[in-house]
Amino acid sequence: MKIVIVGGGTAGWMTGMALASSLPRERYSLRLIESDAIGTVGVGEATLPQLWAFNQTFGVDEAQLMAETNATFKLGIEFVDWGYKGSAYIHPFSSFGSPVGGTAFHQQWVRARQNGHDLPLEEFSYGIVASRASRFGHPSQHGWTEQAYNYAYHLDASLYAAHLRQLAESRGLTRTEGRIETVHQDSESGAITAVTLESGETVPGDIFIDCSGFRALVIGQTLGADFEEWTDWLPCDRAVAVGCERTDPLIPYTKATAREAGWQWRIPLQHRTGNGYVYSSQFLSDDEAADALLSRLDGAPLGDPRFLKFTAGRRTTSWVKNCLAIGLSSGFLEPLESTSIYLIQQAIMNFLDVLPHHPADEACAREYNRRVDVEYERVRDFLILHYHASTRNDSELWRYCRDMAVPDSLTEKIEIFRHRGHIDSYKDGLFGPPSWLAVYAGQGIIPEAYEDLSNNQPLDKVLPHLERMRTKIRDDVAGLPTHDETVRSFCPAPAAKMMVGA
Amino acid sequence: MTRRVQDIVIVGRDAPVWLTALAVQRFVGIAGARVSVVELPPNDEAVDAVSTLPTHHALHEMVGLKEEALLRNIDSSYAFGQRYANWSKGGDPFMHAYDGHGVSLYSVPFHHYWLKARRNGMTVPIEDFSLGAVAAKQSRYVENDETTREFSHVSYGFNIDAPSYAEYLRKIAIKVGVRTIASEIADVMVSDGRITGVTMPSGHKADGDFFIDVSGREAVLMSALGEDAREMVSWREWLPADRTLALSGPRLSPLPGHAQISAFRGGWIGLYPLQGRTAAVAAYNSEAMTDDEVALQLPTLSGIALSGDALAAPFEAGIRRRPWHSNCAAIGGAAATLEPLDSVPMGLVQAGISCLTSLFPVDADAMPEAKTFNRLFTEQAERMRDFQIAHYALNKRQGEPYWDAARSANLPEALQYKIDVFTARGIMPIFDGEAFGQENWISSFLGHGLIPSDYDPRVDFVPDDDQIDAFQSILQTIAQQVRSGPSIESQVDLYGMQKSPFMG
Repeated sequence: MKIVIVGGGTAGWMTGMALASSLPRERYSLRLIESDAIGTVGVGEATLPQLWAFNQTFGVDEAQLMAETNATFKLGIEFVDWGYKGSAYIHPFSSFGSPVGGTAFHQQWVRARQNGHDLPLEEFSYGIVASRASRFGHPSQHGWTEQAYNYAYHLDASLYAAHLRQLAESRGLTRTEGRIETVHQDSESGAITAVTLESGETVPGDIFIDCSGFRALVIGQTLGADFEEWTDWLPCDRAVAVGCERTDPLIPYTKATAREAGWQWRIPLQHRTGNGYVYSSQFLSDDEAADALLSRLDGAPLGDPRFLKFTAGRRTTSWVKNCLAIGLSSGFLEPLESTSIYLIQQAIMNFLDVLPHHPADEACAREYNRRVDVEYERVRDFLILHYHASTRNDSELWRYCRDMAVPDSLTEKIEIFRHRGHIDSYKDGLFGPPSWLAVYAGQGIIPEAYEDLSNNQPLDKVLPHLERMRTKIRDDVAGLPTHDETVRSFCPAPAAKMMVGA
Repeated sequence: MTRRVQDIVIVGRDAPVWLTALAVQRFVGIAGARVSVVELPPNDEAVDAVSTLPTHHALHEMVGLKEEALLRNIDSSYAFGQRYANWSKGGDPFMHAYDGHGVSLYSVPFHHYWLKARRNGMTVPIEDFSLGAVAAKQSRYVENDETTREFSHVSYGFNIDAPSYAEYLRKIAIKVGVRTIASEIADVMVSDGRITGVTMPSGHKADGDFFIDVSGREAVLMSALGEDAREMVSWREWLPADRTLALSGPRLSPLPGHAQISAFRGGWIGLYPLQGRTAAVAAYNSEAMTDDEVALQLPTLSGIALSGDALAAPFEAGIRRRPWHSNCAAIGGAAATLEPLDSVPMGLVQAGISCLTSLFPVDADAMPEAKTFNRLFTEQAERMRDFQIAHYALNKRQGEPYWDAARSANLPEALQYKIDVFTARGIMPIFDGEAFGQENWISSFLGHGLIPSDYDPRVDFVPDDDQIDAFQSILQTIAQQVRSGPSIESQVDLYGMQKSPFMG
């Protein structure tokens, strides 16, 4: 079977590398077509812990990858000024405390609060305490369980793509340079039969994977798959990005600061810091956004700001006939929770999981599309929560978001958490209970009551127990190397080494 | 601050009311809330039995009922699965066991390898690659050890004599502080759409902040709450039985390790082996066969001498639209009714209790939990319903009007979807709130003869010789493990009632 990947970039090369690593050459021929002339959206990118498993599955060496992509470790995201101005909380890749007497930790935390013991939630999370101290060590080397502590990376996405390209080509994928001029369809079935390049070469294929980014060359332009907009809930539609000089200490987390018309990201890499302002063009002009961004950097800017346009939403079907979309061609959700690479990764794993015998296998496509839907909708609701659960009143965007109608599923979640701290866990899709807890509590939604079951343990026993958790985390983290030390010993980038030496 | 729920009044009967009371006592009673049960006259008769899923152990653990105590004090026995017979004309019976099949090689589920081998002429049924199914078929008791853990997580439920189970749970409930009164209900007092109390014929009154209706189909509390609480959704279009009939027969020897579910012209009959007897229940449609016809044919259909008065009762599968309304939640038959198939009725009780304990109201004056409870419980009930409907939808008793109609019914979307993608390519999608996992669905679909047209193409990446080796090794390991296990009979005797001087 001939599989043709249309477009390189992060999506194209993650797909290419994964397929080249798992599909035998004698049965599948893999070809990736990309044009050096078409830029990719490779800004400094923050990832999620699932990327570790993806790299592990396909034999991507962690230290080498990190060195080549100027990567740093990421323990979570700090949200500044979201719930209200002056607030700051970290959404970590770790749980808060551990269950006490059959109840979730946070139930006891609420109980303690209501009894006059205002314990800082942050101090019960390894990830947050280590973040605040700019410390990092691999969990496995420090005796922590996976549940207590997880990590992801900040990396240069174009270098990640380049690294994956090397791997993919060494594993038998053929790369073809060139711009696609025409997409050919079967006159009867409408299935894609081939693409013709600028050079005149025609590349036939059985399955086409559209990784052409926002242009959605095949899935959108040729096949006309519907795009469902979610701009009513997620009004940001622009971003401006610029790098700046690295600052010290090297922090192991992403920063997302709410601004007048959106939010600003800060992603620390080894040699520089990535910055960007995600905003709504309804409430802010491009020039204003660029000026605002440049005035709020914590290092000297490197290069000129670059602009991006997008629309929040997703294709209602991202696998149509014999073509599936992976990456931005399938949908876009702003990088507030670092979900872009995760969604690519899930799409790839889902494709492998429903690998079809026949190019236009309808059952495979249906199941693939169902799974994509679940992922997108769960991320969507979680993102909306950040905008909606805010008491900010200082600009139009924030007033809009506070008052907007949100999906019923989200309203129910917020209400039941506010009432009694209940958090649903679901089978598939991102963001488990600790994530929801971090954002609720961080943005000022505190349960009005706690579960009665918590009272089965006497408070005077629970409080010292909680104190021991807090002390243990504090002491464990104090024993960790600094993030900078770990990066320098584990995965120093050649460029960063030079800078340190200079 | 909120006003805590202080008085919980549970009205109901049979085992579900005690399981509910025990769970509530554990969740809020220990910390001080008063838990009272108004015990209605039982619906269960001497012939009735309940069957449980492996996950039911969690409830027993919570109420402190150990397996040894269960087997010693209550007439009960192990169920490693359910064997389906006569669901297809001339087809083989199959075992739905609580265990997986084979190993997943290179992250591709085993049934795909099995499908390929089958296409190449292998005739070994998929259940022979399941430790649980083989143990059940050979009436042996097995547990996992180092050699089987790689491909098996065998577990079992129980068949339990209903009246003695309820009586035993009742004693535990009283011991841990649940207050009980055995009485009928004379009146349910409702004020401003909330229940404030119930009165009994004796003049006794039980007031409460929160009420739980475990009265079965009668739904004595929900019925008092008005239209919103009374509204029912019928599932009869997919689950056509409108009668059930319970009977009892002699103990089977040797004691089987599974229940047997056999289809007949107008329905099906289940046999649930216990230590002292064999419980039997039939579910059928009165238009296809009358009570008398069924009663007359049951001994032939079941293959054992059934005795006692045949007790027929009306039946309708369905769910209450709002199982929790205002300050009253329904558990068990008052919330939803499904056929006594696949141990689902007790599964519904368990699902209700689990939703209720995780959402037990924290404020006597406002219960927004109802909305989440209703969504979660309904989702779980619908997935169990779909599992039952699959048996009907996939039957192969061609030429019998009752079964032909079941086969051509328009199915619920989620089930039709599962069938479609499984038929095409062996994919088994699993949704939120599924009590039955992938392996259970696969057992059922393949067992009923739904063979996917395609297997996962990644199967072809693995050399045939490696696959054959893996198959043989699993078969050998299972055979060895099952051979070395005790018979169900001797395992039951180890703890069982046989040693009691009060038994025969």
